[in-house]
Amino acid sequence: MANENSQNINYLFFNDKEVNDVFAEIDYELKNGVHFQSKHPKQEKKYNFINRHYKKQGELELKDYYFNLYGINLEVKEDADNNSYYFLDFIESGKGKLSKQKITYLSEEYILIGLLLWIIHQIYGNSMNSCHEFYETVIKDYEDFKEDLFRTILNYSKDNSMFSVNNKFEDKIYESIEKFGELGWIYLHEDKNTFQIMPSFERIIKMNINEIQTAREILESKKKKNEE
Amino acid sequence: MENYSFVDILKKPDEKEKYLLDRETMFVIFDLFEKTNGNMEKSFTEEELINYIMKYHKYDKYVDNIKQIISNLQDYYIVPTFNKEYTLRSFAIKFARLFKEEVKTEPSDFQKPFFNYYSWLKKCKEEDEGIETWIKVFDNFKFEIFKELDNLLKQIRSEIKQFKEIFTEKSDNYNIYKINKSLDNINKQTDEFKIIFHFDNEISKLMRDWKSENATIQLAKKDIDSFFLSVNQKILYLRNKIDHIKPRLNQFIKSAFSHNSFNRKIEEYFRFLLQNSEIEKKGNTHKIIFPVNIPNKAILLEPTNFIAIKELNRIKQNPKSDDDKNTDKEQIKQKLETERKKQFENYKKNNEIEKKIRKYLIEADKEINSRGVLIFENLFYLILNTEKKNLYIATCVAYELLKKYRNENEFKIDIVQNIIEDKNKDFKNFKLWQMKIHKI
Repeated sequence: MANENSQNINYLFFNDKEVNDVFAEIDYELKNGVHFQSKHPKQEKKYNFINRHYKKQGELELKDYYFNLYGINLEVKEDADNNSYYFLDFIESGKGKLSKQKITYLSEEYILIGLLLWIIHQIYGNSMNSCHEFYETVIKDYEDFKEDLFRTILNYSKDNSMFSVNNKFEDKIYESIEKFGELGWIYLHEDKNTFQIMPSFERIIKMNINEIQTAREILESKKKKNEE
Repeated sequence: MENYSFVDILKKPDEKEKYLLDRETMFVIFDLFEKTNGNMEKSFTEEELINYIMKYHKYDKYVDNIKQIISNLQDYYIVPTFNKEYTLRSFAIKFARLFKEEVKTEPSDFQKPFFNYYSWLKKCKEEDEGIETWIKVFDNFKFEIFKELDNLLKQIRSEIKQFKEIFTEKSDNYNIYKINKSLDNINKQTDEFKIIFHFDNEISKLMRDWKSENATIQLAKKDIDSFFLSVNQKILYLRNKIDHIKPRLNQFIKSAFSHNSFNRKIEEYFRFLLQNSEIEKKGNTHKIIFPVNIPNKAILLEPTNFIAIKELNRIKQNPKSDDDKNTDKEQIKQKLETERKKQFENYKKNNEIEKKIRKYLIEADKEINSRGVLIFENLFYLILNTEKKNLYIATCVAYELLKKYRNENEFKIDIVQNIIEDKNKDFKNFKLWQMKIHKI
């Protein structure tokens, strides 16, 4: 029954006949950082739902829902091959109205391994389909990255046996890919080894775009300071 | 007509004669395809064309028939240019490429026959039968293997040649990816050959132990030894060639594609982070601290945990004092905290176990792919040994392996209902059936 506190707001997506099946999971996963794309073998239904109800002129849809109720932007982006993907943008919007909620940052080692995967896979075109293949490619073909990677990611010193270092590095790769799998950046198969890179993986670059553009300047100013 | 489709051709009875060639002329096209590297711009002389025709049609002189063949070929397969030279048409290139793809053999095609030769020879020995037929048949097999290895070498040479063309800017940079992929494929095939010849010593050993004064058998013994020696040398030679070219190729790819300025910036940024980040040690763990000016960015909210609180039995209670209420609150808080810690510990433990299972599954896959067979009981007892008799991990690995390989056409699972016990008698209580997973 209507009272002085009630208002008549009808979000259109609540009328979709699939809302009971998919919305709870979509909502939970979006807040947990999941990115949705049509190419992901396990996201088809959810992606289609978001795609149907992202935004409509003169209507209240998902984008309005997240902005009005949570103060967070539901974003849609496209990769270079025009594959679109959806996500809640905590970088631009922050925590929105969920100010008491804790926020999680992608750990530094995951960022480094993500950038490494991007460089090898996207820039050098060295396609890899499994964590093990990724590990082997780094060890065999990207010698020049290896030492810095081991020092930074594993805190490797030359006293460590190379065998244990290699093993630990492989573990880190598995962990990172699993994390990217949770975010929907990568589709990790059930064997937890083979994977496919998803369109939203480009976020590893896009979220650091300003730093990428200015890294050279930072480096040069640092050099100057050191010289002084 | 440039679009190539066998089905379309066969639908046109009047034209199919022109499109489809006799067997000998098809070989001429394949040789020309090899000669020109499938490149429409590379020409060949009429003399070369006639030589190929004579080679396959067994003509020993210039006859009208050759003129006719050349004239027919001009309809769809070759184009005259000038100075009595020709180039291949795209139809001929597509035709040869398609055919090559269709008839390509893989090392795995030789695996089963090779194992059969070994079993056949073993049976001959056990049942004291003659091996003359075996020698004859195995001779053909040797020829096939050499042919395949020579083909791989030819392919490597052709890839190196193409790489040189890219290097000297005669060909498009993007072909470098094709070369890289092709070399990876050759590398894989070489490895597969290496796996097949895992039985070489067994065949050599069987032959060496064969007691016979028969001159054919004596000769065969030497032949077999030199065959295996030569195969292994060829495999090694192929590997060395690839190992030599691959780093150069990678280096080239790196320098060629780092010309793209944004890509170069990404790589610079990555190196910048690697070389300028600091490590903060905390006991056994460490944390990476990115250089100042590089903020860390939020990607998700902390996963929300739903907490279900059991409804308490409704017992009439006296109203509680404020102190009691505070103690209750404190107790609930503590209880929730303990529950949360317990859940986290369980999660950590399960995660560790899952990781271990995954590692054993990868080891098992590696074994099956490299040796062609996995004897499961060895892995099972190894797991029990390493994981302090953790039967859960061992059975999960068994379950996952069965689930994965039982529906795969290329693999077979043999389960024999023989009870296997641990050879070292460390795990007397654990018995299992004999199980082998092998490649077909």
